[in-house]
Amino acid sequence: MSGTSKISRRDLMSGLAALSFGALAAPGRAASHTLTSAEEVGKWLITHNALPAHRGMLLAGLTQPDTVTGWQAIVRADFASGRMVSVDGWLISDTEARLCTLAALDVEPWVGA
Amino acid sequence: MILNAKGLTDGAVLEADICIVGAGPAGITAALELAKASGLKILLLESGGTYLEDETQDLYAGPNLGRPYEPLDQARLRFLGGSSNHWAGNCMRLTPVDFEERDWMPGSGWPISYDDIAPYYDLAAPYVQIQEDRPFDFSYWARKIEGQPVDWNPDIFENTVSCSSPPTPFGIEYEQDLERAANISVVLYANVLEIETNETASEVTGLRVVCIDGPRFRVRAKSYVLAQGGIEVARLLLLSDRVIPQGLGNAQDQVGRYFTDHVGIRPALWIWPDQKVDRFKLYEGPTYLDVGGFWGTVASSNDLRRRESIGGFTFYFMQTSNSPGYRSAQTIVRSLKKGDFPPYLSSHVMNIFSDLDGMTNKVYDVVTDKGALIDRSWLAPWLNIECVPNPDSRVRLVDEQDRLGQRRIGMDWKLTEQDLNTVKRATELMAQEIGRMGLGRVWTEALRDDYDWPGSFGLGKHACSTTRMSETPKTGVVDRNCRVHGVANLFVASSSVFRTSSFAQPTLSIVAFSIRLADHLKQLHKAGQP
Ligand SMILES: Cc1cc2nc3c(=O)[nH]c(=O)nc-3n(C[C@H](O)[C@H](O)[C@H](O)COP(=O)(O)OP(=O)(O)OC[C@H]3O[C@@H](n4cnc5c(N)ncnc54)[C@H](O)[C@@H]3O)c2cc1C
Repeated sequence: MSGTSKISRRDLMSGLAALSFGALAAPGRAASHTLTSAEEVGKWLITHNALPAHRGMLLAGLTQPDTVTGWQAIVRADFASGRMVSVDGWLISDTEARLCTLAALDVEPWVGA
Repeated sequence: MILNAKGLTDGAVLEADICIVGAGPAGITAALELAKASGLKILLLESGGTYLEDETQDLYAGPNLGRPYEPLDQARLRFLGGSSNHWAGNCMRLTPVDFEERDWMPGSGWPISYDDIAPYYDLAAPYVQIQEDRPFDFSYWARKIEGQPVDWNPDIFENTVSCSSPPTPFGIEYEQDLERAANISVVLYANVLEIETNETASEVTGLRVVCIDGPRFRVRAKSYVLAQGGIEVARLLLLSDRVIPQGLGNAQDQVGRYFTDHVGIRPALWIWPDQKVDRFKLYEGPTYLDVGGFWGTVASSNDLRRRESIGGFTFYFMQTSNSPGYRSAQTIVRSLKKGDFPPYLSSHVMNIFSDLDGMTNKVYDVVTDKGALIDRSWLAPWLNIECVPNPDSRVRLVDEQDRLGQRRIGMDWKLTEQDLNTVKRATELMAQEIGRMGLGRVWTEALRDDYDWPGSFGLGKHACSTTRMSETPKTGVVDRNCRVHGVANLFVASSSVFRTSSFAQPTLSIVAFSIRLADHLKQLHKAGQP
């Protein structure tokens, strides 16, 4: 992974918000599920072996956008090509799932990845 | 003219050029079309009167032999107008793909193409009283209500219109026309018991008819049209077994097989919209305007159906306040009543605790019986699918008899793994498309590995395919002109001729096929054959 060291964890979290996690994580909205934050989504994914609890492997599958808002295009492309992950019935994109899992691992993904 | 068979003398013989059995949408349309500028003498025989009567309705009862199906005496109505006395009025056309052979779908491929039926849809529209100008033009309706069509990937979905008939009750709507037409005689309370033929079963010589607690009589005509609905057409052919023991038109064991209906998963998924729900206003249930009603639906595109090994499908978007949490609460209550725990109990419990307003709604609903307390908008699309042709899914005669001494028909309905795949793939594609466009997120059970048919699901009550159209008698019952193979003067007007059932509701097509058949019969009679 290169050219990523500028993005901090704060960026990641705002990135997630920019992804309009909607049903899963948007604050202030009556979410339909206990999974109200990115970390919790990530924890769920790890507990259910949906994604590896391994930073390097998670990062390897991530496409990096040039800007924070670029995440949206990546997420949409995931959906377009059917790269979806089920979180207890909720279908999120592979990129979202990876970011959440990284958040759960409490890492700053782009630093020294 | 409308007559009551009770007034006929026992042993009477009624004569006509063309006799039609059954006065539902198919039979009534055929009669009115045949009578138009033809001079042909039309006889329309109807089992019932002008309203529901228990003793006649009971003739429709029959056991369930397979997967649970709607009780047969509730899934249809047996009086003038037939099941159009309780239909919902949703109308779509078949599509070009429906007629094509799909190599992964054994038994697909009609002997006619979409172009053969297309012109008749325009003529059928007024019969079901839908908007006649551009009924199936999505952009027309979008402009009318200033709604914004969703920009689906055209390789996957297309915006499709389901037009809303009032819904036309054919018996009531066309009673006067039938009464006034000089060359139509409708005979009510006339139950056709048997189709009589010559000794090679190559020509119909008459019909044996009886009135409950009334006279028995015969009908002689040059041509006969069976229009008693998708189950009874097969029953009468099977009952007419004097010459061919397996039943008329059934030398190849095709009659009654391939029974199908439209299965509805209600809902298949929940969408938590990331936009105002108003964004979907074109899709949310029927809208009625001065020019008629419509419902914007999302259908599998022609390309998708050619490309992937799945049946056709349509999504009907519904707004709901029944969230996944509400659904989980229901599931748990139902299971506990039966003394067991539902599968995925922990997921259900999670759903309930987290989905607080959904849960509040459920409690409020149970306690007060007043419905939802919190008005919350989810979209919960219903999914209707086309099932693949399956020879083992069938209707067949059983030993039990009705009050007229006729063997009843049993329903042995079956679904296949392939049909379940259609449900799963359709749901997956909808989740993909909603995510791709950033319209929201989807929750569904349908993509679990162990997902199976839900305990209860919607049925169209669209009895199709029991006398399918085919090139040869080996693979079906009627030919391209809806004539029973091998029987010169016997025709069928019904969704029973549909070789494949499409995702479209059948009645508009039934009417279109009736008009096409009437055209054909008029030509035959004009040419003096028969
Ligand atoms: C609840 C419900 C909702 C529906 N909603 C829709 C919808 O939204 N869209 C849609 O396209 N379709 C819908 N349908 C299906 C629609 O009703 C049928 O497709 C349509 O009525 C079929 O028309 P038909 O004339 O072929 O048969 P029928 O309407 O079944 O008419 C057959 C007639 O034949 C008569 N008959 C039967 N046996 C004999 C006999 N032995 N002798 C003499 N007469 C006989 C019967 O009395 C009846 O009048 C719905 C059906 C139901 C039950």
